[in-house]
Parts: sequence; structure tokens; C-alpha cells
Amino acid sequence: MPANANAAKAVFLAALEQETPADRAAYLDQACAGDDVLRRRVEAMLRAHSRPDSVLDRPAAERLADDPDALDFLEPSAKSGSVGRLGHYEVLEVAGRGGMGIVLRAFDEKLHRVVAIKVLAPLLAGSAAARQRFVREARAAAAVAHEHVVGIYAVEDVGPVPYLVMQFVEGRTLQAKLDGTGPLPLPETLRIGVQVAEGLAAAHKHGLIHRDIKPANILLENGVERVKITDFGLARAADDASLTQSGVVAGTPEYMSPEQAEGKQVDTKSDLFSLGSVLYAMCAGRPPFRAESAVAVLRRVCDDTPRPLREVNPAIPAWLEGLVAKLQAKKPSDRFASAAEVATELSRQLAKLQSGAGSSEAVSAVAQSPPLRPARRPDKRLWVAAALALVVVVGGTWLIAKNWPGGSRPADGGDPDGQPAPTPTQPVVLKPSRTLMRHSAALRILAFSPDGAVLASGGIDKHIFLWDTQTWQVRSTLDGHAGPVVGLAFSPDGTHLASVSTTPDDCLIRIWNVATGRQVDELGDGKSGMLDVAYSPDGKTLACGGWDSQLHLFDVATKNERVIPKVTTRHLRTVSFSPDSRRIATGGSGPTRLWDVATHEEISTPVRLPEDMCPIFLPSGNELACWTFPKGRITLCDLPSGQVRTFWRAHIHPQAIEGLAVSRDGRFLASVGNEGLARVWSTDEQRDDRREVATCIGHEGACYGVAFTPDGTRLATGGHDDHTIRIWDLPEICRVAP
Amino acid sequence: MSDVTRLLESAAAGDRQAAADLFPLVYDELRKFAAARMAEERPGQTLQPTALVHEAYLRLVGDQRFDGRGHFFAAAAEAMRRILVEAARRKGRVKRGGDQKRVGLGDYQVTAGSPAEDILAVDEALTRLAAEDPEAARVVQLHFFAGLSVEEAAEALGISRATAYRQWNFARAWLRCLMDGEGEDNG
Repeated sequence: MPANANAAKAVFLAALEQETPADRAAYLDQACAGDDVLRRRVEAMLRAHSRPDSVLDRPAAERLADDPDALDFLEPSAKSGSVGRLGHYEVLEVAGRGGMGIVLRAFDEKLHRVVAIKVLAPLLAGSAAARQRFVREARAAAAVAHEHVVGIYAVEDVGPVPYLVMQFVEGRTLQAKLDGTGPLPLPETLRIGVQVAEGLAAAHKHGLIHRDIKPANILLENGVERVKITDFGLARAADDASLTQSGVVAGTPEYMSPEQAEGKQVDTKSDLFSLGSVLYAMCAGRPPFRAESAVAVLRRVCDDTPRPLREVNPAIPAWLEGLVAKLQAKKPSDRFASAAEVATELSRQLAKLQSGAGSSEAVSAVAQSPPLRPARRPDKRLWVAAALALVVVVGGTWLIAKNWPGGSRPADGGDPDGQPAPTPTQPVVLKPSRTLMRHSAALRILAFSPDGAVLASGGIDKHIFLWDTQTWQVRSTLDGHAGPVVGLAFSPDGTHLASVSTTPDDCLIRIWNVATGRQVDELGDGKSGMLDVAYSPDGKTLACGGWDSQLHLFDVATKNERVIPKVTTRHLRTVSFSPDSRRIATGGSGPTRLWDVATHEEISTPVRLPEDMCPIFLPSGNELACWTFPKGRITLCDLPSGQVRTFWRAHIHPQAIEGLAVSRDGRFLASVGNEGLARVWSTDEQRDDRREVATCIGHEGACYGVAFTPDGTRLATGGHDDHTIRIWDLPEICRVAP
Repeated sequence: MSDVTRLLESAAAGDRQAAADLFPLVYDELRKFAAARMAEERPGQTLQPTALVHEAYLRLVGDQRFDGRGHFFAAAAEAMRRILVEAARRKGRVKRGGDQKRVGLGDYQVTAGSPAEDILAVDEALTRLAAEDPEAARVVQLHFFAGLSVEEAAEALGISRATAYRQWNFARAWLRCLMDGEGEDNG
């Protein structure tokens, strides 16, 4: 073989010396006479020689740098489905790309949740200034916790590339929506506009300027189309990018403010101009300033007044045209004073529109403000400055424009359209964020541990499952009950779980160690089935009741039992302690009563509480939320005043209510019904109508059992017929303040 | 006089051990440079092995030309090859979850492979070329991996430019045929 190889080399090199193809062929005929193998080999090499070679013709380093997915900052991962690791994040895929870097969808292994990771591009990571800014701005943005701002979880500045970890928002950008649908209907424009303005107001309050408000940075969360603004302040980090990166303009400066285009100092008013441009785009279906080149766009941003909105879209009311024009005033001082003011105005108009008080005729203070003076004499210096600014910003701001979807992932298939977001009058319609399947029969009761880490579920399959709320995996199965599990209560310290069953064959109260999943105690005389169990908030007393109509009170420490007979006429359906642990409310069939936990005496109320009600104390301790099983009504009873209000007049659940939960701060109630709906209600005193905040649609068949997470961000509901537990992500307003 | 210079002089004087001892020093130095450069690598801009090699030379040897220079570049080219192959392996691992073998030689797909796969394929083919034709392989190492021009490679190797071009032309065709699976049935 070496001999052959050497022969091939010699013949190949000699053949290359031949000047014409004919000479070459003649040479090969002679040199390879009778050696077909040699001839084939040399001919193959000559063919290879005559072709360009994408690999060998460039230095190895250049080829290696070609990698469009330059993910070499990732550590290798052994997990299937993982692209690699970054810190304690398992990277699942590249969710998006932009001039500033890439967005990864990743799984946080510590907190067990999907996150979006924005990695600063090596282009920028190489610049110490850009790096510092990226981290500084990300930290500043992390201070803004608002339902309309994408939450930032962490900022990491170790390793070759800094990155920031943030909320993963499933949905699409407003840009994608506009691309797909063109101008939006007025209510939708206002709904989105209000939320963007609110998000901006929250950020501005922290002194944070976005600098790059545009439809591509406005995410619409799937399902609810809740607005989330992303990329706060990050445009600034990009400004430090090298100026020599020409030809990488990934976007156009269509939403920039004139002062930005001129490269001047910007403040919150700059975001207001951009907000005006975004509103314009929603109304018109296209940005206000368009031109062939970025420089020409800049020139228009500085000099031109956009075509009046009502000429583009006659359906736009005059007040909105005026509002947008005011936002787009060339002089920052001519714009609104604050994003909050814009939010107020937009939501006022939205409310008006929705209450049918007229839309296009609505005249507001905005429309009455003096008409804006069009920039009649374009100032040449402005656009020259702008053109210069363009060069400077080429490596910066606009790089992050187009393909920078933030934490979002393009909606794949399922279009979230038609899902209303929460408005002052319309509840948001929720779909379950998770479906837990383990029970083999109907669910009856759900409870979250006080720290929210564990969800306990009980059903007629006699099982109790403890679910880890990070992973939503079952961490323990508590078996022991001989009948359906209908009552569950965590001890206030979260260490123990009490459970009761409704069957006469199993009348004991079982106490479980939550950590080990083992039964540690049994209480009661075991004469009749139970329906409910509760720990007093101070952890000293355990109460339960059931078919014997007696209230059983146990001293947790001594296990001594005290029985109060005949508290109801047929059965005792619910027991609820007051927040101070001194009173207990009982109800079911017949009278609804209050008891003194210490003396076991009945406490009289100014008026008789409504009968056949299941009472639950609200956290104030002054109010009881009472629900009726058969008629689907909820009543609020103010204890000091004796005032009783049935504030949902119509039957909120057409057939029957099967469960009621109160959020930890008492601001919201959740009811589940026999028809399969879960509905979340605000108890806000300021409103005449206790409004419905969210309607949860997903269970097949009846719904039993409902519980809020302690932080108020989620609701769990149990399915009687579909045997599933559904988890619902509640609107941000439901979050319990820490 | 630095260690490297001393080793280069010994190598130039025919001390094979000195030439061998040279490699780890050059490799360490280059790797440090390369890591620093790669960290600030920018899109559209690549690691410049030539610059690295020259920088390493200045650092380790100083601004002087002497006969041992060729040994330095030979060691540097070998080091660059290793650095780049390691980088390619990292990329390949990240992409494939670390447990798959790259597509074998003789697979046409190699030409359409990922950059990392391409580099690994050349590395493997070059090892085979070195067994058959070490001089041609040295040119490839200097030109393809260390990024030297063919003329610079000629100078580093102490051969004529014409020879260097002939070696490169042959090696290029040979490697391509091997990577395409052509001409392997002749033995």
C-alpha cells in the first residue's frame, strides 16, 4: 500500500503538471497502464483537486467558528433531550436568537421549573463594559415585580458568558400577532395598551427605562393573552457593543423616540413615545414611521408627523388618535406626564367601551388637549445627527430588534385568540396548566400545606396522595382509610396531616407525618363517618364533624376529646376556626352556628345566621363566607354588624356548589360546582358586584374539592368524574402579598 | 534565554528529545492564548491561529529569528491542531448529548456535517495521512490547523514553496478522497 500510495502521489502530482486535459488523459493512459486501481484513485484525487472544498479550503478555526449554534459555553449533559447544561439549568432548546444573544428554554433543576435564559452574545460578552451593563440592567429589571413585566429570576456573571434567567412565557409577541392579523379590534388595542402602560409605569417607578418598547418586546401569554414586557433596559447594554460590527442591523428603529434617534440622553418620556408608536401600530396594523432604510426611518422619526390614525383606520375614535399623537409628540415635555397617566386614561376608556357608554364618541381630556403642532420645517441637523447615531447604534440597540422573542416561544399551532384577558368586568378564562392523574376514582378534597410545598388529595378510591408542588410528582401515598377520604387538614406547622373518611366503617381521624408519609395517630370513638376536619390556627385544637351532627374537639397535645352534641340537625358538613383560634363555625344541615373553643358554649350573633350553610371564616375573623350545597349560592355574613349579604344573586353554579376555598389573604374565593366549573371571585369591598376574576374550564364532569396555594398564584381543583386534579395558574392580582 | 529557546536550539542541533519537550510548553502557552481569544470570539470573527502562534513565539522565544524556528512552528501547529480538535469535541459533545460517535469516514455526509464534525473528520484523516506521508501531513498541520499560508508553512518547514504547494495539493486531494470514502479500496 505505501508503494501504491507513493505511486498515486507521484502520478497525481505529475498529472497536475500537464497543461491541457488531453495531455493529462494521455499521461494517465501511459502512467497507469494496466493498473485500474491506481487510475481510479488518481482520477478521484484529480476530481477532488478541481473542486472547491468547503472544509479544507479554510483554516480549521474559521470553519469551527461557522457554527450558528455556537453553544460551546454549555457544559455537556448526559440527559436525553438536553442540549447541554448551564449552571444548574438543563438547556432544552434554543428558543430564539437575536443580535444580543440567544434565548434558551431550560429547566431549572433546583426549583423544578421551566425558565427562559437569555445569554449575552459573545459579541457583547467580550466587551467588559457591555457585560457590566448587561448585569447591572438585568439586576435593575429584576427589581420590578409586576404582572405585566417578565419576571427576572437570576442574573449570572460567572463563566465565559453572562446570562439572565427569567420567567418562561408561553405565547407569542405582539409583533407576531400584528403580522398575522393586521390592525386589532379597538377593545383589544386598549386592553393591550393598558397593560403595557401599567408595566411601564411599574418600571418607571423604579427609575427603570425600557429603551426598546416595540411589539417584538411585548409578549402575549398564551390562553389569557396577558401582556408581559420583556427586555427592560437591555438595549442599553447593547449600546456598548463594538462599533465595527457593521452590516448586522437586525431590525429597524421604527419604534424609537426622536431623542433616541439623535443619540441624546433619554428618560421615561422616551418609552412613552415608543408606547405611542406601539398603539399606532395596533390601530393601523403597521408602524407609524416606515421607510426603505434605517436611516430614512430615523429621519422620519425625527421630522415627520405620522399619517393621522383616523385616516388609516376610520374606526379609531378621536380621543385615541389624540392620545397617540400626544404620546408621539417630538418634544418629550409635550407628551403625557407618566405611563401611569396613560394607563389610567386607557383603562377608563376601556371601561367606558365595555359598559357600552359609547366608544368613538367618547370625548376625553386628551382629545381636548391642544392639537399638536406638526413639525413643519424639518430640522436638517436632526436627521444628520440621527444618521450618525445609526452608525453608533448599529452594533447596539437594533441588533436586538427582530428575532428577540424574550422568554416567549412562538405559539405552535394553537392560537390563543378568543381567550379574554382579565378586564374590570370580564373574568379571564383559564385552562388548566397541569393535570394530575393518579386517583382511580372521584376526587373529594384537596389541601395545600402551609408552605405550599405539598398538595394533599383525597378521593373515594380511599387513597391520599401527597404531591410535590415543584415536580407535581406523588411523593407519598397514605393508605389506611377504609372509605372515601373527604376531609384533609394540615397542621399549621405543616408537619402533620389529619384526614377523615365518610364511611361508617372508618370513623377514625388519622394523623399522618407529612415527611415520612406514615400514620402516627388515630383519634375518635369511631361511631360514625366524618365529613370535615380542621386544625385551629394555633395548632392546639383539632375539630371534626360528620354524620352524627356532633362537633368533636381534640386537644392536640393530650388527645383529650370534647364532644358538643347536636350542632346541626342532620349532618355537620364544615368546621372552620376563626384566625385567632378562639371561635369555630359549624354548618351543614339546619342552623349555622359559632362556638367558643375554650368554653364550648355557643356564641350568639346579632342576627341568626342563614340555615343550611357551610361557613368558612375569612382571615379578617369578622366575616364568614357561607356556601350552600344544593342551591349554589354564596353568602357573606358580617359578624359584628350581623349584616348578611347574598352577593351572588343568581346561582353561581347552576346545579350545586361542591366546594369553596378562601385565599390566604381573603381577597378571593374559589367555588367549584357540579357542572364542572371552578370560579374565582373577588371579595373586594369596594365593588358592588363581587366580581368574578377567573373562570376555570377543563374538568370533564363535576368538580369537587378546591384549594388555593398559600401564595395565591394557583388553584387546585378535583374532578369527580374525570378523576383528575387540575392546577390553574391564577391572574397575577390573586398573588398574596408576602 | 528562555526554556523554549534553549530547547529550540537543542532541537535545531538535532536533539530529538528537545523537540519532544518543546511541545507541552508551546501547547500550554497556545491554549492559554486560545482560551482567552475564544472567550471574546465574535460572530463573523474567528480565532486567528496564526496570530496566536506568532504571539506565542514572541512570548516564549522573543523577537529573534534562528534556525530552530521551524521546530517551534511544528510544535505550535501540532498544539493548535489539538486545541481545535478539543474545541470541536466539546461542541460535538454538547450537540449530541455526548454519547454518539460522529459519522464515520467514508460517509458522504461528512462534507455536509457540522463544523465540529468536519474538523474531527479532518483530524482523523490527517492521522492516517501522517502514517503514509508525514511531510505532507506537516504541511496540512501548519496550513489547515495553524492557519499559516502555504508559503509560511514552507518557510517553517524549511522546504521550497513549490514543494510546499505540491505537498498541500496532494494532501488536500488525498484527505478529501479519504473523507468521501473514495480510493480506499486500493490496498
